[in-house]
Amino acid sequence: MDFRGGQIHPSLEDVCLDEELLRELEEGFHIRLKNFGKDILFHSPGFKHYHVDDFSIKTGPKFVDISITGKNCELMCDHCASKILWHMIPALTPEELWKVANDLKSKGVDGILISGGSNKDGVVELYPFFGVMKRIREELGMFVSCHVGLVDKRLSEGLREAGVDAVLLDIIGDDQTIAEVYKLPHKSTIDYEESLRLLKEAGHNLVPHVIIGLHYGQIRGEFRAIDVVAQFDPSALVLVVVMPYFGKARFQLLPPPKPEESAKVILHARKALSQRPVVIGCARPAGPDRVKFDLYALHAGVNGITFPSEGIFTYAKSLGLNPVISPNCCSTVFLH
Amino acid sequence: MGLAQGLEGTNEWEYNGCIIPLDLYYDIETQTWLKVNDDGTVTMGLTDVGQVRAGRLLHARIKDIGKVIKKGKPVASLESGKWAGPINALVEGEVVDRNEKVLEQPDIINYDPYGEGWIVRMKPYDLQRDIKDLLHGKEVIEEMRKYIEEWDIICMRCT
Repeated sequence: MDFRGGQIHPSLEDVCLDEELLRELEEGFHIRLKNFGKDILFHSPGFKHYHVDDFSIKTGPKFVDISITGKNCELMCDHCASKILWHMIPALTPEELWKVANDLKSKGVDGILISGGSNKDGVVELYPFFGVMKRIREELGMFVSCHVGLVDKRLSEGLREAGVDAVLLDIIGDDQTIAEVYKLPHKSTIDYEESLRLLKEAGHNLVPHVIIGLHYGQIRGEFRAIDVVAQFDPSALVLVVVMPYFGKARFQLLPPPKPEESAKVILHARKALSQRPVVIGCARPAGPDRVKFDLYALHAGVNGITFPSEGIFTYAKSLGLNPVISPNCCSTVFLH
Repeated sequence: MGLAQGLEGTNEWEYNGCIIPLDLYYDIETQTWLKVNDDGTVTMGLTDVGQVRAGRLLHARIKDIGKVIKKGKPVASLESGKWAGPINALVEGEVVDRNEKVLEQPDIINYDPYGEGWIVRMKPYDLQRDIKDLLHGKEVIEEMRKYIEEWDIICMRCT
């Protein structure tokens, strides 16, 4: 396949890619063709209205996010400061969650992601919600995934009894990042590994996330995090990029990693998880670098891209890929 | 806020905190405005209602000067944390100027959508033909009111 023979959408005309890197990424593209064929997922979950020239979803929201702590998070990590929770629908009690889920169901929503802020030990306290989650799945027939923090046995087994469809968690591969960015000096990479182990033992569909550039825009523990994730045979891996705007004020001017650096992380993930879907998640900064990031991601052989930049959908087709549009969260990729 | 309020004395209408200048032309669905300039060019931007729906804008892209854009095709694109969408050309024509300040700091649109936050200036090919599809003056009010109520919008300039 000629990588540079693709049709260029007008929005990509001025984009310059690193030719040597593109040659390096070919290995990832061949892995995806060999193991997954030509389908590529383009996700557009309902928490954001997303419309670019060559990609949009016409239906109403089908998949939305719910926070069991509203906007509150006790950790207030440097890279997020709880802002990721702001767009989520608050449901602070099991009763509220049931009401919100019924309301969403009546509006045509098929799936929900339940998350929330962490306590000072990095745990999202989902314990009181197990029963309602089970009802949402069984009585409303909705897809339920949970984005958790660190988990203990009680949480892992409770989620299993609730029958949640997938469990998502951010995996960090560097102790200093855990201490400084996440404000968890009493935790380490071993605790994240233990969480993966507990969730795997409980039989969950694991969809770990690795945040590229988490350590103040530098790449540090990403490769190790991916290697750890690979040991637990996840259902899929989601890669996202740190978003400076979401961080605390004094970190907002720190740039995220260059797309060329991020591309190497994507390729590493593709090779480490050659039999499992690797997708680009919704969280990544807007702007010209996102276009390059998405292009490199395509060349590195990812299985899906959420909110693709303008021109990416068209370019994917010209690479011989078969785009599949999904209104769901990218964590559902393993169902495809 | 009454319908008549804002029509007497000033040339703007206000509803739920949203300011709608009545000397501009509007496309309600895309919440874009158009101003006819003395030199025959037109200036376009996002309405107060549009900037509230989008939230604090983080990224903007505007077509280069000299580009010819068909009516209804994107002349710019904007993105916030919860919204990304095109600004479609309300007239067919050539881009003659673009707001470099908006490219550097897109949230100017949130603070001053009709002033400093203008997006693009175009030289229309057939203004009389294209402007017929836009709402103007008092006819804007009812349609804008319906839109504000449908989306339950309260306008705020702080982001």
